[in-house]
Amino acid sequence: MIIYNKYSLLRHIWDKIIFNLVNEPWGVIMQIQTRDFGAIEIDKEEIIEFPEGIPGFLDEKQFVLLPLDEESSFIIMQSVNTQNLAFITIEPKNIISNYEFNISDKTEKLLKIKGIEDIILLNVVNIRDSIEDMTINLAAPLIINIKENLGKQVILDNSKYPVKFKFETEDDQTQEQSAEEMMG
Amino acid sequence: MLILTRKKGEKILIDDNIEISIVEIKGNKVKIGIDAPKDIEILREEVYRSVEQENIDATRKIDLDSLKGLKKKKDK
Repeated sequence: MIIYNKYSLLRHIWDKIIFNLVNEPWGVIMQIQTRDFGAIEIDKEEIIEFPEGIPGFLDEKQFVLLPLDEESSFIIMQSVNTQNLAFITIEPKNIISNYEFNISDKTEKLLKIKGIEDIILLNVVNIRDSIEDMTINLAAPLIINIKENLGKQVILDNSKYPVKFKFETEDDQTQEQSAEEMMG
Repeated sequence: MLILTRKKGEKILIDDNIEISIVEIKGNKVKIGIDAPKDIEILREEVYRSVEQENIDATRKIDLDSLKGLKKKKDK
C-alpha cells in the first residue's frame, strides 16, 4: 500500500527534455502527429506505456506528456498513435492538498513500482463549454511510474473523490478556500 | 450471460479462486461478498462507466489558448 505524496512532474519533464537535448543527441527520435501542436519530434524514451489502455480507449497504449507551455500547470497527454486523441491533465497538487488513496498490489506490480518516488499523478481535466465550467476527475487518477515509463488510470472505488470536481486556477484566495472546504 | 438464482447465504464459485456470497437481501438491495485474489479488480459498474464517459467527453478538441492564459496556481 502506498500513499501518494507531492511531486513535481513538470520539473521532471523539463529536466528530461533538456537532458535528452544535452546528453543524448543520438537517442531514438521519432516524429508524431499531435492534436494541439502539429507534428513534433519525440524521443522514444518519452513514451509512457499504458498496458491496459484507458477506460473508453482500451486500445490506446502509448502516450507522451507535453507541457502546455512554461507558464501553465497543464500537461497534454497525447496519444502516440492517434493524432486527435489527447487529454488535458494537471497534477492534483495544483488543485487540492491531502489527495490520498491506496495503490493496490495489482497496480504496484503492473507499473513495477518500487517506491513513491517513482510515481507521479495526473488527473484528467474536462473543459465543458467554457473554462469556468472546467472540472477535474479526482475519482480516477492517472498513475505513472516515470522510472519505468508505465502508466494506468486507476479508478478509486470510494465516493470520497468525485469524477467531476469543479475548480479554478486563478490566484484567488477565496476560491482556493472554498475548494478546500468542499474537500472537507 | 449465465443467470443463477441464489438465496441468502448461498454462494457462487468462479474458476477456483473467486467466490461470490449472497450476504444479505433487504428489499431491493442485495449485499454481495466477493472473495478474489488481489490481482483481480472489482468495481461497481456505474463507477467504471462514469469514468469511461468522462474520458470520452474530455477529449473533445477545444481552443487551448484560453488555458494558456491561466496563471499557475500557487503550490500549497
